[in-house]
Amino acid sequence: MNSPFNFDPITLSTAYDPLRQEVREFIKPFRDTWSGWKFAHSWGGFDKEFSKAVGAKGWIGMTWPKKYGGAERSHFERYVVVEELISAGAPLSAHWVGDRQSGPLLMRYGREEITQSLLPRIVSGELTFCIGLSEPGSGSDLASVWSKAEKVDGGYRLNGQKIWTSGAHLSDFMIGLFRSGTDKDAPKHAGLSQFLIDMRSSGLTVRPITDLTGEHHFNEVHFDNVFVPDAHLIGEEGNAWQQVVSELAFERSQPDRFLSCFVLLPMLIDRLDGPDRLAKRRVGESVADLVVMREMSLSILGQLEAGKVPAQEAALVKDLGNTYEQKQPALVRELIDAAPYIRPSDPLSDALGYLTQSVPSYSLRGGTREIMRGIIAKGLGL
Amino acid sequence: MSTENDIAGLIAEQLDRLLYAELTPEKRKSVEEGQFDDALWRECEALGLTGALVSESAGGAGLSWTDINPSLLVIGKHAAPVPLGETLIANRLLSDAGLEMVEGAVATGFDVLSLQTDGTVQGMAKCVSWTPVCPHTLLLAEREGRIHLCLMRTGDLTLSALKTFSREPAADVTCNGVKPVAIAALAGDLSQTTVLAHFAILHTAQIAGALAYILPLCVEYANDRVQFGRAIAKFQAIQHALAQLASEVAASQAAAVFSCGKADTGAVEYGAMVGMSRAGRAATLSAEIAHQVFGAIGFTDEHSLHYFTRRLWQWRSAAGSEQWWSEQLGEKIIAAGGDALWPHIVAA
Repeated sequence: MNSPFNFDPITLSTAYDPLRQEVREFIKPFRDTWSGWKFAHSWGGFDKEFSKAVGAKGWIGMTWPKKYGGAERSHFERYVVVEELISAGAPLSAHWVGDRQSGPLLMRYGREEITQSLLPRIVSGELTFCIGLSEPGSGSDLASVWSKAEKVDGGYRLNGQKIWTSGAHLSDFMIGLFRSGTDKDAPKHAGLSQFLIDMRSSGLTVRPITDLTGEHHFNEVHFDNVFVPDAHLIGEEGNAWQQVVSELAFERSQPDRFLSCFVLLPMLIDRLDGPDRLAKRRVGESVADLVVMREMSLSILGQLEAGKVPAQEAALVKDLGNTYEQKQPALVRELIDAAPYIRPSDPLSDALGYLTQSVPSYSLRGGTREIMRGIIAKGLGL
Repeated sequence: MSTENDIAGLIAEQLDRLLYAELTPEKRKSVEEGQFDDALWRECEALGLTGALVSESAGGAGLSWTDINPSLLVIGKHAAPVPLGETLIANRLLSDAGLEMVEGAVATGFDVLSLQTDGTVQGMAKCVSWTPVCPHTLLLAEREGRIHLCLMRTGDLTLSALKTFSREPAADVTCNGVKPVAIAALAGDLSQTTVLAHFAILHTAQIAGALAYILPLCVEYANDRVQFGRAIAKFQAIQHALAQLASEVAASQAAAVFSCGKADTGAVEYGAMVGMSRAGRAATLSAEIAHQVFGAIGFTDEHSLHYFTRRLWQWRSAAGSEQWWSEQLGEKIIAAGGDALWPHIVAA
């Protein structure tokens, strides 16, 4: 049948089962020390020592070429590692952006000498990356960024401001999107360039933004005549839009887009006392949703492995996935009649306390729900 | 494997062409008014699908659930008013129990009746889809704790016709001391729930098929229908509703593939739990969205949309509702405990 999307099934080989087991054994001693509040952060949590331990296992950049420190393993093996870590609530943000996005971007578009010097340090868990996209006037309308990159002798001079930059205060490098074109009549998607920016550069200032959970994850980043050398231009000048778009199919379909609240589910199950029909039905629905979504996510991975760019499918999985994640705190609340206070000694209460407040951001980060539905609608031919 | 895929793909294509050529709104209407289309049934039967899940040595095509999923989607896509899926499953159940597959359409009842010591069947099976037009009806009957498959001549049974959402024929079946034409105990690992699960997987695939038809229908209408001086497809509210519909369609397709895959590895019940839980909810939400997009015209008898949305409402409940299958899944998951959840999901 003709279909506007394709979700051909992929079955993960049982050959990866020992790897899965290895990840579970690796994580257990860490997990036992984490509070509910901490593991509720899952891949959004920052823990450099943990990331270095993950790196030491060879689980960062594990699909990358050996010459960059990678392990040349398949994307399916990476998927197994990632889903095991996220489902256990492991804090991954010290290496997540580098592993998922910046490393692959540098390999594809970066200068060889830069790639060779940085990637092995991403692989070890030493380097943390952040992504500078949004600006005060440019959120969903990303192509309207106005922060400028001006060509100067030997490099570029950056001026402007980024906002909502997660982890900027903890990062070594930013991949930032700047307007390098000067043609005012050119389409706004043209004239954008991506740069690798050392966060210690002079003229660069990071200011914290406290979020509603009371924590400091995102930041304002100000650029006041920040110099970046020519070698730090990523890809071609003016071509950044295409480069950014090609990253997204991967970013939008992975387990971090539907497992962010998974840690609640096992705790909920153990808390149910003599579950009634309603509880069984709700838990069953949640598990069925998850199983089907994971099949869809794996299918996209299979298509990416086969060299396709399933952008529609990825937008669709992200929309379904975020909606699913966001329902989970409400599910717990419904089935155990959770009280509106946070008891740190109770991991479920602690995790629920964090996630109830955190989930509104899930359908904002990585492209809002409205942007995803716009992409899907366009793909349908509307 | 690839040969079987080719054969299955060919059958699905032929079925698609046949139904495309034969099915008119008038025909659908007349079946719903009680005129079963024997000619269409015979043409469908001639494609060889009724024995698709029966091994070649038993006279079938020896295909897997995964092989025939495309055909089941086609049945749903055309809202085909013939008990093709129902019959091919009945034949599979018969053959699994060591009985011969039968010619013609077969309906199946899901209630368990009583098998008397004299070999006759006593009791009632509620809401047996298609039985009024099927020469044979398969009933479940218990004796001494064992459930038997009893193949009955429908003419020997007392039918009390029912109105269904799909308006396809169905009846409560009463059996007063009637002798089956063939009988065998269910294979050891099969239960009443397993029998039901076969049909829940069929309906999961039919829902996915019907939704795959509804989506482009809605897209086409939204692009054509002009209000406030522009196509309603230009309104963001409509775009987002249809994007959500697309997600449900995609999820139902993935659910159908998953449940067929499970059925092939013997986990029929688990396949039905996940498949119907997901696809049943997709059916509900999708019907809502489709009717909202079509406005008043989609609410008329004249428009074809209701032939599909009424079937969505039928199939989501006909062999255990999405809520009931969710409950079975939830019960199993909760009983296994929280630590078993993640290993279960990735092993499933």
